[in-house]
Amino acid sequence: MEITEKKTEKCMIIGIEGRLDTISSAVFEKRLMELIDNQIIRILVNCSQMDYISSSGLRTLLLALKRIAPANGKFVLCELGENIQEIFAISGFNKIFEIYPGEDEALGMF
Amino acid sequence: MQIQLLNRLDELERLAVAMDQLGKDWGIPANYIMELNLAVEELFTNIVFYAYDDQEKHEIEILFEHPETGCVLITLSDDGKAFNPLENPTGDNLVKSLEEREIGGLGIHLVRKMVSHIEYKRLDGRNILLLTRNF
Repeated sequence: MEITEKKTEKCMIIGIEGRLDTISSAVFEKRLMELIDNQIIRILVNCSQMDYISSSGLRTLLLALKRIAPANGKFVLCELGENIQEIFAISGFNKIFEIYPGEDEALGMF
Repeated sequence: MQIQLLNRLDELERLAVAMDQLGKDWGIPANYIMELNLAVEELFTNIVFYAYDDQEKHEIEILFEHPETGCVLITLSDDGKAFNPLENPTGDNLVKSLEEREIGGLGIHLVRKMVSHIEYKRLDGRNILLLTRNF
């Protein structure tokens, strides 16, 4: 997995490339928590290059949302591939997260 | 095809590579392999986290069989303490709100959704999980 970060005026855009499995989600979680600790609480995660997610990856995203939502931040996901969408639907996470098909549309929500 | 993994999380990489190759060898579409990989990862990490109280190395055996077109059988076997992950309560926490949502149980919920049938047995001091996936 590779994490890319792009700072915009509105938010931080994080790109996840590859597999978000039990190992890599620990790395991603550490980075997300660092950002949140530094008051970066407007985050858009672009999942277009994410090709796998397990329950640990879902937990990491949920943990970030649970910290950001009460702090009046915003944590949004976009461009989920078909397989990833299916996992979100099966786990009920599609109802918990704000998810947009395209990055521009998601950015418009900030 | 059989693979032996040590009870360490970094073995997940070897598992993923082996399963990708299996998909190619058996002509199984990548999205099915992804779903099976997810099921096996959840069960494997459960074993790594909960099956052993000691600090020793243990081998977890995973057997993949393709008895007929449209069917894959996966058997996971470990020598950890008796544990039936299917007895884990699941499902009802999925409809709870974000605030009250429990995090546990999600992995096994995903496993159940990724396979057609799953069965647990304890045999000769080993936990055996049999997964069947029909396409």
